[in-house]
Amino acid sequence: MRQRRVVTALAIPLVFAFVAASCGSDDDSSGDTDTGDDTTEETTGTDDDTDTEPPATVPDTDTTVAEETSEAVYGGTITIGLESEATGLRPWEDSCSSPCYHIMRSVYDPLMEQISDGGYGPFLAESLESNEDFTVWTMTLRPDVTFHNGTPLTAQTIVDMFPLQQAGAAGSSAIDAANLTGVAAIDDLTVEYTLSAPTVAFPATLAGAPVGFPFDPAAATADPAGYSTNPIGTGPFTMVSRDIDNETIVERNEDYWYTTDDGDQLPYLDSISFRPIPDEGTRLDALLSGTTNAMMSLRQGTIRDAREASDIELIEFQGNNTGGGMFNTAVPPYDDVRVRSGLLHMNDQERVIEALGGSGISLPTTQFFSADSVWWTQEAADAYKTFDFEAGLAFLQDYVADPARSDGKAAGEPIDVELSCPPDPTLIAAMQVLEQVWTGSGVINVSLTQFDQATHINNAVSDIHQAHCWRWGGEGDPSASINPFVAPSDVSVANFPNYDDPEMQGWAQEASATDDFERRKELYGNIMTRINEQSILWYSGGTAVMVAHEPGIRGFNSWTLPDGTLGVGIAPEAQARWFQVFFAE
Amino acid sequence: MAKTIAFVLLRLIATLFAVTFLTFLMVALLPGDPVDTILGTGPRAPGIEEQIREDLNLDDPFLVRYVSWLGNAVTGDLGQSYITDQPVSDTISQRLPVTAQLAFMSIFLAVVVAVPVGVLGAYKQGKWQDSITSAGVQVALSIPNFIFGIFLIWLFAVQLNWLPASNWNRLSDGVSDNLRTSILPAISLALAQMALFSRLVRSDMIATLRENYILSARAKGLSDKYILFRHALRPSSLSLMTIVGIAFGALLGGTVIIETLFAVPGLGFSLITAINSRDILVIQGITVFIAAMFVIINTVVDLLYAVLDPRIRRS
Amino acid sequence: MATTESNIEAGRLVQPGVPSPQPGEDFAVPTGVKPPRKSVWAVFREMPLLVKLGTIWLMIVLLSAIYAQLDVRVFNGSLPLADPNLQLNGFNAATGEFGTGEPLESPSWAHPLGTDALARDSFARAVHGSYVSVTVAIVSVVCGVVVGGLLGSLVGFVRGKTETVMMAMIDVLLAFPALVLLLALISIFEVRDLFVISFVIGLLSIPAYTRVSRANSLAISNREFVMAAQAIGTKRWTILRREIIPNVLPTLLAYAMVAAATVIVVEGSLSFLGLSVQLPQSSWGNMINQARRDIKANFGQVLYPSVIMTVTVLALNQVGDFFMRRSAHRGSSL
Repeated sequence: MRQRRVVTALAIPLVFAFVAASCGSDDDSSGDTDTGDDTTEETTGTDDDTDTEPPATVPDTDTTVAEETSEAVYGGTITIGLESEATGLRPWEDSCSSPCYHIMRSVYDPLMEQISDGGYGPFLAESLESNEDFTVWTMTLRPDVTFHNGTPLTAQTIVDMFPLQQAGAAGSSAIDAANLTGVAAIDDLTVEYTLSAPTVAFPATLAGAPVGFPFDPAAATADPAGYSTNPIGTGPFTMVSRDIDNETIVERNEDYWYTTDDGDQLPYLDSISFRPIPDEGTRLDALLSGTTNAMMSLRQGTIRDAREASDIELIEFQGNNTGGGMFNTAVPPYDDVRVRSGLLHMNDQERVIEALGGSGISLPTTQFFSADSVWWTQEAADAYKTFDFEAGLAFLQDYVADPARSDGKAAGEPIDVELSCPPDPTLIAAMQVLEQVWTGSGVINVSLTQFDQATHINNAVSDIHQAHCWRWGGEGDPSASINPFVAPSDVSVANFPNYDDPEMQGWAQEASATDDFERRKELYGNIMTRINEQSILWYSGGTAVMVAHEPGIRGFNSWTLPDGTLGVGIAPEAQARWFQVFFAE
Repeated sequence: MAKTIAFVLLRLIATLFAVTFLTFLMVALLPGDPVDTILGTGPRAPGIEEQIREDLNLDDPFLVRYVSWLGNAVTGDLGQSYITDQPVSDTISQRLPVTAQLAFMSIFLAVVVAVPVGVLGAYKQGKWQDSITSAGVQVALSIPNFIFGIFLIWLFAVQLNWLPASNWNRLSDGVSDNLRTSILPAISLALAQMALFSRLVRSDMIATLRENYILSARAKGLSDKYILFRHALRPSSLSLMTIVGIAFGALLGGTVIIETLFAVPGLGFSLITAINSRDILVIQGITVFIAAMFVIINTVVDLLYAVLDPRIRRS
Repeated sequence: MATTESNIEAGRLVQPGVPSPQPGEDFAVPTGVKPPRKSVWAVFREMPLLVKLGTIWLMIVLLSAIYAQLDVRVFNGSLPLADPNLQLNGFNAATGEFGTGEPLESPSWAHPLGTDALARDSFARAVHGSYVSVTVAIVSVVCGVVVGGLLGSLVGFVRGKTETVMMAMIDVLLAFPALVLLLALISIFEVRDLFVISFVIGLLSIPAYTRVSRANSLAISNREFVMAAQAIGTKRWTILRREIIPNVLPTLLAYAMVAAATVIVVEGSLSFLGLSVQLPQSSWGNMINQARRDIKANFGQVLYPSVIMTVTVLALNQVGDFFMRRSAHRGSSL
C-alpha cells in the first residue's frame, strides 16, 4: 500500500507532462516537470558514448525559415502571445507547462540546459559529474551570480532550497521521480546530490522547474504565496508587474551574469510583455495585426494558418512527441486483443491528421519517436497496424461471433466502445473521424465523451477510462516516457493501459541501468514493437510546434550556452529562450 | 414607507442567507471526498490534505461548517484556490473592476442609443420611423450576445483589422488603449440592453405623450423637441433607472460568455477558468459573490424606486 | 391600452438570457371570462405577416426536430438528410474508404449549407441540431407551465399565508443569477445529458412562471364570476380547475414562448462553451463553436447556424408577443 502511494506521487508528474505536451496546453494544472527533458546520454560531455551517437535528435528545423546571422542589437520591447496563463511562478510549487516556461525562463536560470543534439550542458552550473553508478552527482556552480535582490547564489542556496522543494507540490513529485534523496554543500560552490537509485537521466532534472531553477530560499520562506507574483531568480529579466490572465511584464536585468564570447552582456531586449491569449485564431490574429510581436503554438491547425500568412516568420519544430490514444486493457472488451487490433486497423491516420489540421505538417507515427529520431526502429514501425478496414472488420467480427467473448454479451451483439478526449476543438474533430469508421464497421456502438483536461487525466489515473486520447514521448531519454508506462500496473499509475508484461518490464529496467546506447535502443525498440503487436495504443501524428514572429527578430535557434555550445532552439515545446533574442537592424 | 424599507431589508437578509446556503450546499453535495475534489489530480504537496481538512473544518457537521464558512465569507474570506494559492477574495477584487467597467460601458452605450431611438419611436408612433426602429429592436433582442460578439470579432478584428480581437488593457494603461480592447465586448453586451431600454422608453413615452400636461405644453406652442426631452422624458427616467439597475446586477453575471469569448480578465472569465480546472472553492466563491451582488443591487434598486416613485410612496 | 402595452414591456424584462427579479409583476393580466374559441386557422389569419412567417419557421424547426428523431430512432439513419455521423457522409463502410467529400465546401445543391471541417453536410447537421434546441425549449416550458403555472394559480387564488411564504421563496430563487448558477451546477456535477440539462434549465425557470401565473390568477380571482362561484359553494379545486387555470393558461403560454427563446439562447451558450450535449450530436451552439476554428477559411460555417438560431429566437419572440398582446387586448376589451 505504502509503496503504491510512493509510485503514485512519482508517476503523476509524468502523467501531467504527457497530456500537457499534448492534449492541451490550456490547462494550468499541467506541468511537465521532467518528461521530455530527461536524457541519459551526453550529460556533461564526459560519457564515452556521446561521440558514438549520431546526433539525430537534432531538432528538426527543416521547415524553419533560415535565420541569417546578423549583428545583435540592444533595446526594444517585445509582446508575446502565449497559449495560456501560468498557474504560478514558484518553481518548487507550481506545475509549469510550455507557456509558463516562457515566463519562468525569463526570470529564472536553469542549472543545466538542453543543447542542440538533445543532450544537456551546464548553464548556471559550471559542471556536473556523476560517480560510476550514477547515484552521486557533483555540481560546481558558476561564481559571482546574484539573485535579483542582490543575494549571492552559493552551494548553500541550493541546499536551503531543498526542503522547500520537498514540501512543494511540483517539487516533491519531481524529487521522487529523480530518486533524489539528499543535497549537500561541499564548499562554497560545490553541491553534491545523492540519489537512491542509479539515474542516468539526472541532468535533465536540473534543466528546468521544479528542481533546476534556483530561487531565493529566504525570500520564498518569508512569503511563499507572494513569490508567485513577485518571483526572484537569477534570470535575464526581472519581474515588473504580473496581472494574471492579462499581462506579465519583465524588464532587463542590468546585472545579468551572462556575457557572450563577443562581449555582449545579455539580454538584448529591454523588456518583454507576456500576453495569454487562449484562442488559437485570436492569438495568430493578434500577431498579424501587430498587437503582439511573437507567439507560440502547439497546434497544427495554427501552424497551417500561419504558413499561409504573409509578413511573419515561423520557427517550426517536430520531435519525438506523438498524439493518439490508448485502451484500458483491464476492462472488457479491450481486454481482448482482437477488439484492440480491430479498432487500430480502423484508425485512418491521414484523415485524423487532416481533422487535426495537420496535413502536410504532421507525419503519421508508429511509435513514441519520430522517423528521424535515433531511437526509431523499423521493427516497431512494421508491427504497427495501419489503416485497413477489412482486416479490422475481420478481427471485430471474430470477437462479436465468439460465444465466450469477454464483455459477456451474446454472440452477434454489437460491441460498446466509449472514446474520450479533452474538449479541444481539434481533438474533437479527430475523435469524430475515429467514431465515423468505428460506427461504420456496423458492429460497434460508439459513444463519445469529453471532460476538461484535469478530469480527463483523472479518469486515466483512476482507471475508469476505456478508449482514451493521449500523447506520448519527449525530446529526452526514452526512460522518462516508457519506463513508468510499462511498469507493473499495481504500482505504476502511469501504466494507464494496465497492460502487465514481465518481459517488457525487464527490458525497461535493463535500459535504465546501462548507458550502452545500442543495447538501450534495442530494448526500447522491443518495447515499442511489443506495444504495437498487442495493439495497446493507436497513434495519429507527430506533434508540430512553432514560434511565429514578425520579421526582424532573431536569436530563436542560435542561442548558446555559456560554454559556446549551441542550444536546443525552441524544442521541444515551443519554449523560446528570450535572453538571446534581439531585434535585428 | 419605513415598513416598505424594513420589509425590503428583511427580504434582503433572508435572500442572502438562502443564496449562500444554496451555494454552499451545492458544493457540499458533491460525491466523494471534498479534498480530492478540491485538489483534483495535480501533484500534491505533502501535508496539503490535512491542511485543507483543517482549513475547511471538514470533520465538523454540515451546519457548523456552513456557519463558520459564512462567518469567514462575511469578513471577506472566501477561502483560497488550492491550485494557485491565491485567496478567492484577491481574485475577485482584481477581476471585479474589469467586469464592472464592462457592465458600466455597455449600459452607458445602451442608454445613449436607446433613449433617442425610443423617443423617436414614440414620437413617430405608427409611422415608418417607428416601424424601422421597432423592427431593429426586435432583431437586436433576438441575437444571442455570443453570436454578435463573434461577428464583431470577424468584422473589426479579422476582416478590417481595426481593433484587437482579444487582450485587455487596464484603464491605468491609458484610456485610448483601454477603449481599443473594451469597446467590442461592451458593444456585444450592450445590444440586448439597448433593445430592452428603447422598448421601455418608447412605450412609457407613448403613455406620457397622452397626458394632459403634455397636451397643454403643446398647446402653448413649445417646440416638439423641447417637449419631448424636457417634459415627456422625465417620467420615463424612473422606470429606465429601475431597469438599468436591474440590468447592471444581471450583467455582473451575464458577462461570463462575452468575457470568455474576448479573453477579458474579468469575473466571468475567472469563473470559466475555475470551472475548467475544477477549482471548486473559486467556483463557489465567485458564484456566491455574483449572486450576493445581484441581490444587493436589486434591493438598492427596489429601495430607490420606493423612495422616488410618488405612487409607491403614497401607498 | 397604452398602460397595458407598457406592462408587456415590463414583462419582457426576462429577455434576453437574464431573468429579471420581477418578471410578470405587472404582466399583462387578462381579466376575462372564458375566452371565445377560435379555430387555429382563424388565429393564424389574424397574425401580421411577420408573425405568420415566424409561426411557419417555428413549425419548420419543430418538424425538423421530429424528422431528425424519426430518422435516428425509427429509420436508423436511412432517411435523406440523415445524421451525417450515422449515414457516414465521410466514411463509406461498403468500400471501407472515406468518401470524396471535401471539408469546408461552399453551399451547393448537394450541400445546401456546405460542409463542415469533417466534410459532413452542414444542412443535415443543422436539422439534427434543431432537436437539441427544441428539446430544451419543450422540456423547460413543460416544467415551467406545469409546476410554475399550478403553483402560481394556486397561491394567487388561495392567498393568505401560503401565498406569502411561497412568494418569498420564489423571490429568493429569482434572486439567483440563473446563468451563473446553471454553469456552476452543470460543471460541478459534470452533467452532459440533454434531458438533465433541459430539466435543470426548466427548474430554474419555474419561479418566473410562478410569478406570471400568480399575477394572473390574482386578478381573475377577484372577478365576479369567481366570486359568484365561491358564493354558491363551489369547491375550491373545481374553481381552480374550471375558472382560474383556463384563464391563466393563454397568457402563460404566450409567456412560455418568450421564455423558450431565452432558454434556447442559454443552451446555445452552454453548447458554445462545450458544456452541453455530447458529440457527435450536433447542436447549433456547438456547430458555431467548432466552425469558429476555420472562420477565416469558411465564414459560412459560422454564419448559417448563427442565423438559424437567431431567426428561431426572433420567431419565438414575435409569436409570443403576438399572443401576449392578443390575450391582453382581449382582457381589456371585455
